[in-house]
Amino acid sequence: MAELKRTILVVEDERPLLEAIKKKLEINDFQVVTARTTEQALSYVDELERIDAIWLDHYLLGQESGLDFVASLKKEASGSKEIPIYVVSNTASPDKVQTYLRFGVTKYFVKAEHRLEEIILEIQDHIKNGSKEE
Amino acid sequence: MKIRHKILIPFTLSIIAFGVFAALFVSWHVQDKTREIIQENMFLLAQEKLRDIDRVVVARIEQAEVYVSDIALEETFKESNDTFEKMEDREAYIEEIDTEWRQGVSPLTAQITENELSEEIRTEFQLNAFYEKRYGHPIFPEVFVTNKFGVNVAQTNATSDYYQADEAWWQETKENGLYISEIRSDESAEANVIDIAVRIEDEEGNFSGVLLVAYDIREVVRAVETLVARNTTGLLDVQTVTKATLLNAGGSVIHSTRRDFNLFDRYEDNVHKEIQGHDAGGMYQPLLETKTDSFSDDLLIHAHSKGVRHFEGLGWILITAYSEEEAFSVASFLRNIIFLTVLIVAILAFIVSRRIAHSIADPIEELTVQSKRLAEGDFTTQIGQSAERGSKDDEIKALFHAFETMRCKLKEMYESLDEKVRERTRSLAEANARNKAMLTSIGDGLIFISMNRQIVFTNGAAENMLGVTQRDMIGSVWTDIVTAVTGKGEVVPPEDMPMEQVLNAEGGVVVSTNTADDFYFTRTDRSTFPVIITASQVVVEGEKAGVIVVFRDITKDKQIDEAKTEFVSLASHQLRTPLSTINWYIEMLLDGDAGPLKKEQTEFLEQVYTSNQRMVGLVEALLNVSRLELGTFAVNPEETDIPALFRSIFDEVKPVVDQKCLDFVDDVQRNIPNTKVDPDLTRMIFENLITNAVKYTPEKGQVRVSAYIATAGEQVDEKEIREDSLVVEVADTGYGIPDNQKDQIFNKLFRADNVQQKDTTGTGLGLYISKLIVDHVGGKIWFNSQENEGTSFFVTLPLSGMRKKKGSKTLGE
Repeated sequence: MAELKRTILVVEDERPLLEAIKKKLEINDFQVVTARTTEQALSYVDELERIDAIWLDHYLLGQESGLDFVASLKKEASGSKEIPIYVVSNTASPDKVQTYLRFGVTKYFVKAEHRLEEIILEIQDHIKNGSKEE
Repeated sequence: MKIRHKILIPFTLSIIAFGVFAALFVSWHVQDKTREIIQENMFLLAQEKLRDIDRVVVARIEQAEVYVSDIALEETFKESNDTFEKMEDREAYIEEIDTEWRQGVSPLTAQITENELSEEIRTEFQLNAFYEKRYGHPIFPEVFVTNKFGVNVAQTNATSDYYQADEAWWQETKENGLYISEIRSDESAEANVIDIAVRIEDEEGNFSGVLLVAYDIREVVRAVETLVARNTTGLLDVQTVTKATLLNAGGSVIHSTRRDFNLFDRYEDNVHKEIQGHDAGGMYQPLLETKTDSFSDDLLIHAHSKGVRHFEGLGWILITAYSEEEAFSVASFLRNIIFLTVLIVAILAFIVSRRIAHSIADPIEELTVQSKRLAEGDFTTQIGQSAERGSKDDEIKALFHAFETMRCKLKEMYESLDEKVRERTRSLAEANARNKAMLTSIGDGLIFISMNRQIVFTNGAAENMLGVTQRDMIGSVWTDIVTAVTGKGEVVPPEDMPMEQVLNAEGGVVVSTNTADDFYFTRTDRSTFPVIITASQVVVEGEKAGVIVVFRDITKDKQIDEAKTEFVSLASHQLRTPLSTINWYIEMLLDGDAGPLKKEQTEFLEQVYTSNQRMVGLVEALLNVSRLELGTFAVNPEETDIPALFRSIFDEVKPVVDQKCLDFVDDVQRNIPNTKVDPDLTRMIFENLITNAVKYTPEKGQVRVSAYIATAGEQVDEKEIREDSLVVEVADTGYGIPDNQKDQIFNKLFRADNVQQKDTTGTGLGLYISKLIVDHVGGKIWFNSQENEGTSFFVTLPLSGMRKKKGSKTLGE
């Protein structure tokens, strides 16, 4: 593989889930960075040179939710705005979905409806296709 | 006009009028009659008087006439005639004597005056002593005789001239035998006289001389005067003749009792000619005196003399005046008597009629006063004493008695009415108080709006909730007080509000909103609060009278709902998270991400995975049920491709269908147009039915799904469709539903016994959810089933589309 491993930032408050997701992503050849709060996540975005994707849950530790994170991210002038965001949450309120999509997230998954593998594959596909276009 | 005047005035007035009329009539009549009588009498009187005067004068004339024959025989007289007969130069001689005589120097004057004849004449005519004694004055103050040549022969006094033959009267006497002069004033006699001249004849009847007597007319004067003396004409002792005037034939006054007429005065306006024109004197009247003295108008009677015997009369005119006033004193007296009588009668009449008037008007007045009192509610006053005054049996008395009876009855009635009214008022007041208490105590706001959109009454709760006082609300149009907005703050037009819907509808309609509806009322401080509103039409005697609106602040309820929903949301999240964790870990294990697995390990893990999936399904279902029960799920209709929706469901169940070798019949009409339905909800309805059919049909059985459009009036399973609808039938040849459990099949968490035994898995929630959704969107769901033969489920969804419903969450979250 000439290409680098993709880096994915996973923002999830539930530790066991976080572990499982991380494991699965690594199996699928991702470099994984985890955060449990928006602050953490944002700082990672600032620090890391390159993030290829963000796996975002809605409910997070602390006051802020995934939505706040997206809002903050999109405000930044740097290229971090462009990072594809995949919201993976258990709430399926259309209002929330709409809001996320309006903010410009790439896709919204309802956890309970999908297999982990399924989500990851879709993300991979999407990134690959996305990079092709670049 | 008052009755008492009505009685009094006409009665009295008519008596007076009658009296006056009678008096005047009588007096006029009497007056008239009296006048006639008086005039008649007066005339007779005047005539009589004139005759008397004539007679007197005639007597004197006769006296002269008789004596004349004596004179003719007398010596002196005869001598004189002879002498002068033979005289030469008679004329010269006469003239000479006459001249001397006139101068008063003739001796003959004395001679003649004292001769024998003169003495005789004096004796004959003058009789001074006698006349003086009788009348107070001589009758014949002067007498003289002339011979046939006109010279004096004898005389009683010295005459003024000797020769008379040149006088007219001498000639007339010689001619006619008698001459009577007008009245003249004789100086020597100092009296008013008339001259009477008689012709003297000798035995052969030849003219031989003239005798002249001067006749003092005082006798005549006396006669006139006695007229005016007190005269009893028979009726009354009244001086009827007030004045009398004697005129000679030439119209000169001989004598008048009137001061303003003197001897020789002309009586006015040649009235004498007029009088003489009348035949024998008349009672022609009245001669209006232009010369009146101080008395009032007198009426005049005149008469002129007719003559006595051969003597044609002096032609004198007697005019008598009599005072009407005096004459009519009888009439006046009568008139006055009558007036007086009338006055007395009038007074009596007045008194009597007044009494009568009072006896009628007073009781009436009394009754009037009493009636007024009654009208004012005073039932206590007794009828007054004026009732007692009348006679026992008269109508007034009867009236009073009747009135009294009425008063008593009214009093009774009023008192009992009063009592009743008090009772009623009391119970009304109680009812009112109760109502008021109820209204104030109920926690919901209440407004009654009339047909003209005005607030008629309201209660304390409404006041508090809206922040407007009841007084400000009452009378205002309701839209001025209540402004409704949506949750987003958009104003809701009044016609969309239940109040207007009810006001405009017919038939006692009731419209209510629920917590899912989006009505907020605005307070005066601009803050809003959510409400549910129930508007009920008020019908009074078949007519719309208004609407009663009850509204409740559901902030708490909404908050509770909000909380519940949030709770469910959170719960769903909390439930799903561990389930997801389990899912994914097992997935990873099964994928070999933790290393290869032994067969048995895989089998065990698969069991766990399956159970977990079931749990996920159950959690889903439970969460949906929660939302459905909350009633807070949204309906978002959009144009949906129905056949495609079914196809996707079919794809979903395909694995199981294949596995069970079921005969799956797709009978979905391809021509179903895109329908406005909520795709998620619709999917859920049919998903449940189809998965049930597939699940509860044994291997090699059949499942048929039909879907088509039915128009209003068509029959579906012997039920008539009321509007154009999407009809779906899911029929299977499966286990069916036991008859005794058919009524429970839609119950929550219910699973029929037969399927429990068959070891199938199911939540018991599918049909419950399907029915809830169908009901919620306005459709119908029902089934036919026979145990061990199969089941057919029918669903109709109106093509008018699902009613869009706002909800706080969509199902499936």
